[in-house]
Amino acid sequence: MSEVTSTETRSWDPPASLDKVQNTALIVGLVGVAVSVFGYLSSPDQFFQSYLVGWIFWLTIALGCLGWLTVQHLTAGTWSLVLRRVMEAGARTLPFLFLLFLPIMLMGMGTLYSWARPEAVNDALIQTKAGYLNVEFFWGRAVLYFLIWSGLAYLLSKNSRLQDETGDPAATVRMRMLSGPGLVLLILTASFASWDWLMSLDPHWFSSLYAFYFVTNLALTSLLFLTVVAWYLHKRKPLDDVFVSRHFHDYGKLTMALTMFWAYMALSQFLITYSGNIPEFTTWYVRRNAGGWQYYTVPLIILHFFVPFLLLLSAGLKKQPSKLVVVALYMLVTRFLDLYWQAAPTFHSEVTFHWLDIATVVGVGGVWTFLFVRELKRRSLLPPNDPYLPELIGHG
Amino acid sequence: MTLRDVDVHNRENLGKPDFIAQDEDPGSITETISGVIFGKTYLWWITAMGLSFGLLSIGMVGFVWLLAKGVGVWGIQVPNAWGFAIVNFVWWIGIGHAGTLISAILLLMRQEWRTSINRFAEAMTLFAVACAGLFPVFHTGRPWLAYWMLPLPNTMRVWPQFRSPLIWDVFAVSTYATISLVFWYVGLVPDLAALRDRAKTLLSRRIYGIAALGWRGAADHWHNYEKAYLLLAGLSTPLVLSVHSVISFDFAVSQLPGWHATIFPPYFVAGAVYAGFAMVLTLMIPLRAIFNLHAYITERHLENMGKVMLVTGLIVGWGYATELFMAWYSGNIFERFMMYNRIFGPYWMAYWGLILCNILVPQIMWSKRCRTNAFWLFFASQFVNVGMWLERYVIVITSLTRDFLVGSWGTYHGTIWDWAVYLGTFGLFLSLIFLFIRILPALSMTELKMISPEGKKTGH
Repeated sequence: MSEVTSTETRSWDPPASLDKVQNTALIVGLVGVAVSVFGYLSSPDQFFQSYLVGWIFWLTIALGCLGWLTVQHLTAGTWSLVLRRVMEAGARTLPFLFLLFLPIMLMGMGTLYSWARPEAVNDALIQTKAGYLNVEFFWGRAVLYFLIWSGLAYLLSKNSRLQDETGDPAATVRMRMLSGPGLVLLILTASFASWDWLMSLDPHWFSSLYAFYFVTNLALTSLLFLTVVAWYLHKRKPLDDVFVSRHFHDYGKLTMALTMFWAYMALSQFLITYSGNIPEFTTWYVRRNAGGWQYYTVPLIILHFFVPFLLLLSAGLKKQPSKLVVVALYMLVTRFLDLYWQAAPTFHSEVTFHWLDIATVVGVGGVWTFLFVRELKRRSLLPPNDPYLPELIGHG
Repeated sequence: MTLRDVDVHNRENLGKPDFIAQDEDPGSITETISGVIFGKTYLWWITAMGLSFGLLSIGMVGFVWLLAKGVGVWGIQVPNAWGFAIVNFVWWIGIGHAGTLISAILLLMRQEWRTSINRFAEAMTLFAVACAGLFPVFHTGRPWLAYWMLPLPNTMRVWPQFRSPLIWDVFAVSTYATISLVFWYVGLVPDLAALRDRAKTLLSRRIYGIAALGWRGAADHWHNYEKAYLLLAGLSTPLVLSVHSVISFDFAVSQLPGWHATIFPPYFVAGAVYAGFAMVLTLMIPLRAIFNLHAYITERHLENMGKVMLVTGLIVGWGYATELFMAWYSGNIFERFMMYNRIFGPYWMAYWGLILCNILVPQIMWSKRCRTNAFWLFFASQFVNVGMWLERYVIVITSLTRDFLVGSWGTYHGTIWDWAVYLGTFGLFLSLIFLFIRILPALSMTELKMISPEGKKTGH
């Protein structure tokens, strides 16, 4: 650590070009929202079905940022330190995502969740789990998840600012202390959230792997997003000489590992369900293998696993940010397609796409990106007093 | 806590001073580690080996009795046809996983702390797989026909049932054993050459010499060695996931509540790594004390292993919690009864025992003081060793003794012969371990030299 250059002399202010990104995101977001509102007025059911997927897509990114942030504090690797501020900014958007969930909580429950409809009282199986699947408890849980997530994001962010201002080692230690239990809580609450928001769309079906699968996807989706941001930042001052190809190599390798993990989870769940061949478990797959959905399911496996897997085998590609970002953007699309595949077949037995599916994810995305960039601009891009910063810069 | 403590967690810093004492040089490394092999035979070694062999003998009596009388001497009774055999099989296979994880995945992740423990963990993997393999083979009742499990062309055109996960097991486990053996052996070659060069008698020089495959330490030898090692690491990595996933399919593809659970593959893999690290610590901590290897197996190694145990243990806990919730959420009376039966049924002690051993006690690993303290690590590891055995016991036994048909309900208990063969595999495992530390370098001299201060300087 001795050869390190003085870090206090450098400023890590975010690049001015972020303003443009922020404005564009806002415009795109508002257009998306306007179109979605129009969609809501013309076909409210479809709006909520599309909106749920769009909202969860961006939620997984923000929540994943929080998850990776705790991992960063626990492992203190430089590959993640360089993105710590990005993760913090992403995590700080979580309270806003709660506001974006309100339309579903207040108006969309009956449309989306059959267990929330009055006629569910006639369904004996739903009645056995009504203690869990009821609207009030669902609301309460959602509030609790967001309280925990926002609270963790707030505490980590606060100590991070304290570290910037005072350089107090206690702040560094506190962030690490928070991160262990924080990560455990996050995974636990995210598991319940996945059962509440996605799995209970089909209240008769259940799979114990579902939460593991959701958390893997959360990690993957947010990692792809972080890769895109890293690519953007590495081209601009002040981080252009801090990023090294090894960082991107690491992102690529992690993406590869999580892609394989996705396939592992998806295959395990399918194989066990298929081999067991018990009607109450297979319905979920039967639905996704009929009515045209089979032409969606099979390509999804190829697009989400085989294509990125074969591409990411190349070490050259992983080390080259301009190439890796293309794969990351591509995979963000496949992530959306997978999420859509989780939800949409429950609503439509025939394969369908609606323009609202695009409008909502773009609308939420635009607004979210606006908020994210706003948060990112609030602080320097690197934590100036982090004990590992000299190492990051020294190695750069 | 000071910043120096924080620094310990720095990944970039791994492999620098803290993973090996600063005053170690290549000469002293060879001296210390080969000294264990060429030094005189200790009395404790003879005693320990004798005791291990005694245990093995009990097992041999058990196996002979089984062959003479048939598998009925075990406590198994349809529908509870598996009993201890599968419990022990899964338990031993799981233990092997730490070796593969340490040698392959940590190598690919450039975690240099693996260097001091990988050789030993790999050996442990092989011996654990050997113990595991005995159970399904003897469970067939006619082990001399075990080759029928292989898809051999035959005039009767009889083939194994390829849709059965039991056949997938045959492939998964044999691949695993083969790759682990080759990986371990390739890593041993330079060390075997070092032993050849230091051997005192002609016979041992010859034996180590043949095993060293003519290694001279030439540049092209090293080049090929490094390449082969990395390739084998790549090949072994999927095995960490695949072997225990396939074993979990033995249960999960059935229709029995408590077995038919989609969570099984990742949850079994996490449990396997958990059990494996516990066993590595169980063996490593006494070894370190006896041979005074504190310079090579430092507190940081212990701490890292403690962390892996904590993380995998939490994943296992996540699995238990999910199973519990899903059993209720399913709304299915059989699923709900299965979970109720586990917790409050005749085997409630096994269930609560596993919660105590796997979930509660290992939480002491949150404390840095416990993670860096050999005693507390050893303490927690013993609980995990027992807990992981109980976990498999609960899965195998409770679901089968209380299945759909009340008429086929019963109770299961291992007989004295079940325990005899289980103890016998302990004897086999420990005998192999003691032989291993006596005739082969338990720590990789080659790799330790690479991370020693001098090795770092010269780039090797």
